[in-house]
Amino acid sequence: MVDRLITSYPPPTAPGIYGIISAAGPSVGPSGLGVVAIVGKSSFGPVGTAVQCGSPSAVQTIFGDPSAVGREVAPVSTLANLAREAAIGGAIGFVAVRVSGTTPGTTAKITAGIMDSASTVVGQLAAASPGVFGNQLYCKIQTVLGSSTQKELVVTKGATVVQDTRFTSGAGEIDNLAAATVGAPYAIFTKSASGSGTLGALASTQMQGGADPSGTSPTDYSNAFAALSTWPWATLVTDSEDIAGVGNAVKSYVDTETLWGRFRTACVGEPTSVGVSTRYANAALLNSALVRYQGTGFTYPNGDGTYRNDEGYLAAATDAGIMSTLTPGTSMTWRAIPGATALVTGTPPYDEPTAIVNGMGYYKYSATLGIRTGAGISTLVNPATPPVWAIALNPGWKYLEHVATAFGLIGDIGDTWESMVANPDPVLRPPNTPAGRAALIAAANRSAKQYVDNSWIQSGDVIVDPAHPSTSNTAYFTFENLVVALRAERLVLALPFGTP
Amino acid sequence: MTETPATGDTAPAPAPAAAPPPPPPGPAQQASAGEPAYTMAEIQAEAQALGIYPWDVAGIFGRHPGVEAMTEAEFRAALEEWRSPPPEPAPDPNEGGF
Repeated sequence: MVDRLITSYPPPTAPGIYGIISAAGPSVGPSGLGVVAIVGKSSFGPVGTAVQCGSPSAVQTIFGDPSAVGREVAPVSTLANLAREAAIGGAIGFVAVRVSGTTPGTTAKITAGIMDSASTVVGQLAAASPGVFGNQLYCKIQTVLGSSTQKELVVTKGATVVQDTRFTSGAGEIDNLAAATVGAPYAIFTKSASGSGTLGALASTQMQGGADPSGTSPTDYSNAFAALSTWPWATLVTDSEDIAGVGNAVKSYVDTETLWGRFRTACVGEPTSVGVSTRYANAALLNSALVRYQGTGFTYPNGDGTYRNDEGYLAAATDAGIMSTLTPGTSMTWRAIPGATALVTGTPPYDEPTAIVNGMGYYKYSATLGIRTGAGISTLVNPATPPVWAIALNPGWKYLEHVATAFGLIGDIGDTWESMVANPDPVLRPPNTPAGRAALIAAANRSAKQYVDNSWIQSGDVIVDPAHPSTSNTAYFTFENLVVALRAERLVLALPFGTP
Repeated sequence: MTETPATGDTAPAPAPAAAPPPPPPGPAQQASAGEPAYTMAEIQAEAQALGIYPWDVAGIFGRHPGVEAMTEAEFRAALEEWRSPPPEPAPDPNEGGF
């Protein structure tokens, strides 16, 4: 990877690989391909901590069920929904962060406490994390069937055993249970007294008193973003539809990430209950090469004969799934939403030319693909205003395909150079001499040639930057004739029929 | 990667959420009351000292469209608002699918 995108010469004093994006050249693939960072509310799971999950069901296991399968006005548990929708778009992994609130949640527990054989309370058995999900858990402590030396704490949710923690019985078993449940996923025992030294039997008992955090504010989202920085992921999506506040924070966050060489994108969305003119305005508000605003939606079968409206944050999650898979030479255009059954456009519906001018993403119907993405533009409608990570951008940056190709090219050359300048044998590291720079150029051009061979760029050769002579341990390089190749997506067919 | 991690290689850890100290002096605009006002970029540059993240500042200014700069008092008030939960939105007629 590159260590940082910089916007001025000379580069920082620290050793590293730095990239400069300017209008003369083009543009890159995000890291964490196919991985979507999801930030939202939930009824279980760690708060404010990033957790890697390999599937939507893993997200649901760790963070609990969604409060509703569809979009709600004030949903209390959304992480599972975000993961499900992102998977529809093609996401293959997730880094999830549960947001907190101004009122912290409370942890469900066995209200009577855990007692010893003399019915004296010796500790508390509580859910591993706060939230109402804990109220669905039942706990019992019993002797392991067929064993005279082991007991077990069995935690069930419905008919499913979700935790079975075994510990040595007899003297010290209270301590043994406490030790055995350290870091347990659902129920944790905390000892408060020694009592008789042995535990009494606990019949299946429901935990109670769990409550979700409430009063989530924008600052809870921005705190969650910070937890994501060290993880590999490509695209960020949240359950917030606060475009002016959280949306702008999202944009600023991915800009900051990209500045530090971690190429990220993001998706936001608003439901069609928001007036279409407001959606146009909000799409333009987040004008950026890295952020896609989705202003429409689609209907999707729930699998039980009912359908949900996937719009707002749900549609943004689907788009995030698609965007997370973008590689050099691929775009957001003509991407089908498998299984979607109809469009959700609101009343009045969007106007396609106005949507494009404002950078509002939308879905449309295709006879061959069904529901598909409309214009593949990002929301970059004003390339004249560069983000913090670039000197200047050309209009090509309004295409997410261009963004993916440019970040891929920078990233690949950065990886190649990193293996050279960080060679474990210092003697083999390239010197800052004509020969050393030539070796670096040759390696970079091997990467560039791969992009030409795959028609990801039309042309481009790495050369020593003639405007910036190499000095000391700093060498400058640039591209000449660098042109990104976009797919042919606007086809015009004239039909000059003759008169019969 | 670098041998020495570059400053800012990870997200800056904000200080505990206390009342922010006064923004730094800078080429700021002057508010009508004579108090210096600070642009988003100026406040972002001091975000860590203020105990917030740079993207917090972007979100706060995003909630005040058209505002180019804020005085310390204005920013303190906006930050307090930023840390408060938004009011409950109106019911969505499309809620729940069909």
